[in-house]
Amino acid sequence: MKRLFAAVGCVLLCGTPALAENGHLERIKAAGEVRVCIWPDYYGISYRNPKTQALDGIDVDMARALGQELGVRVNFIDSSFARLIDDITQDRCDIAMFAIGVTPARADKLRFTRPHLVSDIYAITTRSNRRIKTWDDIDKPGVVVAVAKGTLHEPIMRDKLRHATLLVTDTTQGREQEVESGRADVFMTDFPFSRRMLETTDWARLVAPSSTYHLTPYAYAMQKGDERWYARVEQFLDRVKQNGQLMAAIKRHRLEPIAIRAQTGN
Amino acid sequence: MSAQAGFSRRFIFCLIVLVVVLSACSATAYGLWRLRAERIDHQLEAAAMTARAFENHLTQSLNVIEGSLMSLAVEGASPASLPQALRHAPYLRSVAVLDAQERIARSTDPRNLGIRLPRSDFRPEGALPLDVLRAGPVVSGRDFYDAGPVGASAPVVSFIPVARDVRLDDTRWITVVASVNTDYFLNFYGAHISPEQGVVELHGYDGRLLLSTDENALPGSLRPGDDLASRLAATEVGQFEERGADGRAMLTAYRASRAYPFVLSVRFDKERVLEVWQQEALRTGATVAAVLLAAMTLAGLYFMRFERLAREREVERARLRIAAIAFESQEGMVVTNADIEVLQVNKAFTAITGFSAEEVVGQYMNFMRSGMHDADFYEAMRTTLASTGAWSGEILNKHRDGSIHPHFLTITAVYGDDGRTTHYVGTLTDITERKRAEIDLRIAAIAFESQEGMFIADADRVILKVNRAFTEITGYGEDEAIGQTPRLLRSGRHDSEFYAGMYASLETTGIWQGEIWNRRKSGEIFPEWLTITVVRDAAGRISHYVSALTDITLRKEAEYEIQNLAFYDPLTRLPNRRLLLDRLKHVLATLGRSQRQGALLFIDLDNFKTLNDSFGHDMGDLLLQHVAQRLSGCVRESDTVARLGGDEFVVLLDDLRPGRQDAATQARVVADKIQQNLDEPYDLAGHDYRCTPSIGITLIVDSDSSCEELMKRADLALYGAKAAGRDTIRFFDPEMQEAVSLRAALEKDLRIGLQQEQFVLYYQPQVDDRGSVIGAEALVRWRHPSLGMVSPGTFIPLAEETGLILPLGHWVLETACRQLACWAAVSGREHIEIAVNVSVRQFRQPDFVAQVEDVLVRTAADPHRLKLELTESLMLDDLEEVVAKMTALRSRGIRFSLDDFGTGYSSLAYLRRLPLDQLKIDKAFVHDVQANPNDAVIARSIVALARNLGLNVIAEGVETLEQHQFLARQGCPAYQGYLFSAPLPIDEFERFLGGWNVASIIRQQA
Repeated sequence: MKRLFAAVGCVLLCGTPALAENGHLERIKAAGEVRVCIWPDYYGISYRNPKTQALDGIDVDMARALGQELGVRVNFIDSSFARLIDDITQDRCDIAMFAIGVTPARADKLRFTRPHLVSDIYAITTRSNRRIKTWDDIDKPGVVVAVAKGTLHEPIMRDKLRHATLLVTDTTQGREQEVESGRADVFMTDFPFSRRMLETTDWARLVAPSSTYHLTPYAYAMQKGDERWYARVEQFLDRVKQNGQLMAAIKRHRLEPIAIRAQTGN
Repeated sequence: MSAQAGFSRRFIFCLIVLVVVLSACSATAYGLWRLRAERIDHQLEAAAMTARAFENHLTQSLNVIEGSLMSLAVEGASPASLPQALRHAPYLRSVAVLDAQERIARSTDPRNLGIRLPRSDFRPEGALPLDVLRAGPVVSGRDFYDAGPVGASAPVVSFIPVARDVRLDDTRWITVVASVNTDYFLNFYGAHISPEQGVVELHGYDGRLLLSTDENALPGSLRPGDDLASRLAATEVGQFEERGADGRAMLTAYRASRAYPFVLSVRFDKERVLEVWQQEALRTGATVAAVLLAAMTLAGLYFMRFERLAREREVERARLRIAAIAFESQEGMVVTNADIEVLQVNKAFTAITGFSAEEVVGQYMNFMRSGMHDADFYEAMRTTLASTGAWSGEILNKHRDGSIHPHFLTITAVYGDDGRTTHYVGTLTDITERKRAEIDLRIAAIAFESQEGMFIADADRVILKVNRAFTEITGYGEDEAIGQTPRLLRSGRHDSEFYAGMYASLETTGIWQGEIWNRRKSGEIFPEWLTITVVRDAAGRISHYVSALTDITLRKEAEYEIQNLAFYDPLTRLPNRRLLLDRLKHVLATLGRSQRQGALLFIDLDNFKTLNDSFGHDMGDLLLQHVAQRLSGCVRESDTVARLGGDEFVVLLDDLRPGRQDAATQARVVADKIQQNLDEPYDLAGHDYRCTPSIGITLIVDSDSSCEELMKRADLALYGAKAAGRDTIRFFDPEMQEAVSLRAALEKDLRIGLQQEQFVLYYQPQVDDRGSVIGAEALVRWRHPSLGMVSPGTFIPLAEETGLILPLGHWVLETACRQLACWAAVSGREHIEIAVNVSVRQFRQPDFVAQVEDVLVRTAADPHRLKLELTESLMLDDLEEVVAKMTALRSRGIRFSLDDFGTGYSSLAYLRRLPLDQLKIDKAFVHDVQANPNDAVIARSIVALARNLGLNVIAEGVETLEQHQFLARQGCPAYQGYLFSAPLPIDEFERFLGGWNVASIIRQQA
């Protein structure tokens, strides 16, 4: 937490003036660090182990690789999907690297790299839930569907649900509590998070869509307008895709099901 | 090992296998049963532990809920604090505060507001506030706002309302309620116990079901037959087995919450529980079965191997036994090692070779070497053995006794597993007998192809084999004869009895031989000598006939010839003496049976000797042949005419009429006929010849008489006939027999007379034409002591026959010479000559000349006064020798006179060659000189012949003056006869000389 505040503090104090004049790349060089926004609850992507406080995930690996390529330290800045746009636009980090779903709303505000993962929507329910057996049981009267506020699922589910009741929680933990306590039947999430639920709780049960429900490409986000920075990141991405570093990381974190293979193949 | 032992062994093996399998199965079953029991116990324990853990979780959860509700009440249950109660409390759906009217005054879910929760719905019941957590029945619905009673089926979503009365102060109480999330517990239970594993149930203390992981279980219900309540009364913790509503056996453990009115039960499906055990049991069973199977298979294989080994041992033992038996077979056997050192020999070996085991074991196998084979033979044997592993052949071996025998020897090499020779086994048989048999066979084969025809027939007389000679004799080839019976050869000359007899003889004696007439293929019938020998098999039955046949056609012919020779006279073809005797015997035999009689006629030709002497044997033979023909013509067919030899013929008359007289008459008739016939003149090579027979007859009336006797009698009769003057027929009579006996006695006397000088010389004077005595003929006379003077006609032939004529003649010569010597000294008698008769036999003596000379020397007689009288028969001898002897004697001065001239068959040529001095006219001619003109002619011719030949003539037998005058007229110069004087003893002769007066005699005559 202290480091988080220290990072935020640094951004607030030193980052802004340099941004306008020299761009992120220069600032990074000058500061000797790159500030990477992450969501530390994002299991497999950018997860901070609460027991060790160590960061783990594909984008943590990628961020470190980026730092290494740029020859600077990596300063991980805690963020979330709810704060993502603010954190980027207000330049609290140079880049957000936590598998950010490319949605029209976000794309409107942010500059995305070419996506390297793509995930459908998954539902999590309790083992003992007798109402939800399959995906088709979800959009039924009396069923309560929880989504976290600010996640890409909120607008999608609001748009898609016809009969079920949508329950939007303020936090991601909230949606889990709603489901666990039985106040809601399912909550919506993506592939990496659903994996985390299955692995870390003994009550969660995955309900996968019977067919493709809604695919969301994941990419890294940065401020719009800094082309050099963006090109540099793209260059990095091209390189890690080319040399297999990215694929190795995907495999290491067991995310092959959602890897965009066609691109990695290039 | 017997089959029974094998069976017993297999039985034991099977028993052991059974016991082992049963034991293993029992042990396994026991283990599995134990495992099952343990599993059940263990699972009951596990159920109990699980129940305890779940109870613990439940109690703590309720404890936290109670704590939350109490703190909520204490905090004043402000609206803001309400949601805090739900944070980190997934077991709660909502919390609420009741107002005094038991309605929800505040709630985390606004939808619950105003809903009344009657106090009576919660347990434990109490009208007054209780300081414990109270629980209501399970309610269908997400929360109070959509609460509904549990229907007929398990609710999709449910909760359990709980309430806590919290004392705010001494008087004020506040009731806080919560809807407990049943899913939370079900999740918890489900995370630990899968539906397949078992069921976890939460009951109220009254036993009503609140929750069940079994989605079909109906909350609020009491399970039928569930005795949980009664069990709870006994103990709050327990475990037991039960049968579920669906009939499934369950392992159940229950535990009541230590603080709240809930009971947790965990039921494991026993079947499910035992599935693991079942799998394990299956695995164990399979493993055990596999191991057992493997073990049994191994054991079985081992046993089979054992069995096989046992069988092999048995086979080996049997083989050894057989080998041992085989080793003691009839064949000699010897076993050696690879270095041909003898290891073992059998009894037969000892029996054959004489070498005992003690003698030869350990020796090199060369002790039987005979030395008859060279080194190459043994080298070849070794080579063959080395290349083929066996050698067999004939070998000459030496036995212990040193004898050498042919053996048939087989040597077999025995190899070890490494292929090297370990032993040699020699098998030998003594084939001496076989070799001998082979030779015998060869001999038999050659013998079979002998000159003798042979054929072999089987017991059915079917011909199996014939030889070449058979074909040559019979004309039937092998292919024609084989398969036929000897009937093929039958001539038809023998009747069936003959053949029956033949086979009867074969059956009884095993052999038949004899003459048999058979027919050749050409149809010719021929005699053969057949010998059939029977061959019998071991059982004594006839198996074969071996027949040997010889063509005896030639032999038969020869035999016929021999028979002819033996029984017939070759000259006349008449039966000879032997056949005659045969027939005579036959007649004698038949006479005994019949009344018929027979007769034996002996016929002798008179003067046949003279014919022979005069005209030679050819003429004699011719005459004999004529006689034979005539004789044969005189008798009947059944009668026998035989020739005994010389001029002796015999006629055997058979079948004469009975009665001695009749028979005699009949015989006489035949004899007369013979006499007449034989008297007829014969034409002998142009010569007309007359000949008379003398016939002696004896009747065969007495069957007791022997042949010899009859022959003798006939002979005697003939003798009688001859004695009766020839050309006579005489019957045998006993007197004649006597005469013969007499003659025999006479012969004996003759010898004695010679020795005792009973003989004397008589001298008959010979006078010349003037009547002067010129000499005398010395005539021998026998003065028998008892018979008196015996006639020379009687004893001279006897002396001739017996050979006594030689000493007698010698004596006569010597006596006459001595008389000459006497007279030579007397004046007036010195001129007297003496004529001495010399028989042919005497003259034939080789030393006759010497004898005469010797006599002359000894007597000192003058040879010129000695005259020897010879007969014409002398000329039949070797004329040269006769002439030589005569010449020799004549050279000494001795003169010769031919006696009986005219009676013999004298050749004038011979007469010329002989150095004769005088012919003597036989008295026969002189006797009839007047009556018979022929005789007169002869006499005259003889005188004329003598004169022409320059020979002297003297006529003997002059008895009358007429004879004298006739002869004188013919010019005969000398005479001898009774006219002048009878023969006179010496003294009377000398007196006669003194008183002789010719004129007186003539006067007397006149």
